[in-house]
Amino acid sequence: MAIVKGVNRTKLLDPSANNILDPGAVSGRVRCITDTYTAVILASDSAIYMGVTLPAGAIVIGGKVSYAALGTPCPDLTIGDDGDSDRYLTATQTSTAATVVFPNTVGGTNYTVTGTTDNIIKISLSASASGAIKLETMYIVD
Amino acid sequence: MATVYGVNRTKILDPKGNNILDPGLVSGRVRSITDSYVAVALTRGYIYIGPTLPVGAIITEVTINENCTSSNHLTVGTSQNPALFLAIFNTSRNTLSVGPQTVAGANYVVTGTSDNCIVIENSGNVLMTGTIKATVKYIVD
Repeated sequence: MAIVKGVNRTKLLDPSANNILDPGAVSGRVRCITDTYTAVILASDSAIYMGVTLPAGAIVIGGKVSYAALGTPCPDLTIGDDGDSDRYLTATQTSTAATVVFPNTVGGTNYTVTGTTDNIIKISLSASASGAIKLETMYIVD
Repeated sequence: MATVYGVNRTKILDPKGNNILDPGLVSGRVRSITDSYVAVALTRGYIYIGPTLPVGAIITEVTINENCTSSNHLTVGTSQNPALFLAIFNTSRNTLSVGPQTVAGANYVVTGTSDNCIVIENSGNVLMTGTIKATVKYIVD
């Protein structure tokens, strides 16, 4: 039977200069962005930018999006950023009101913001939409 | 129609010596642990993640995302109870598994040395390959 350790726990147990963890990687303070947008016949393929500009090094640990039924034709909703429009949430149908947690991708899990194309959370809609969208995104910096 | 109060709200409404709440129980500051493990033909066993938690820490959420080979089974808990937070689930989900899923694991208070590190148990019978990422939210104060 194997007993292994995560990348960060391995570094914690071997506190050498090479193993200094980024601030917040363990026991980081959780911060939360909340934002909302009410679409009124928003054009197809629109992007909705939400919340603050994240600092490089911020680790996005998850969140949830709540939306009303966004109309017909039912647009798919994704959450990501300019670098990857579905980094955190892949295409999700919005035919009925729902609350969905994210990330649903391994790549977007505990994603570390690196620079200028990935530091604003973006909601993308594949078709015209009407209705309210609320987003909560949690991240750590320190 | 009845109107009743939770255990903590009851104490808040009756502020006397016996009703002083532990730090963090209400209005606690949320802290987060992130960790990951890249498995390469890993046999069944345990993956320890993150730091050693202090006694009194309250675990409020544990999430796992993985893209490991199918036919493996994971649980998440502590060495004392490896399924305390997430009951057994099949790998290769590629989506977020959110816990605690058990009443016992909800708002679990760390008590000692056998429950102060989060443990992922791999109980599958085939070698496991893939990435596992974990996030743990807890409060201390």
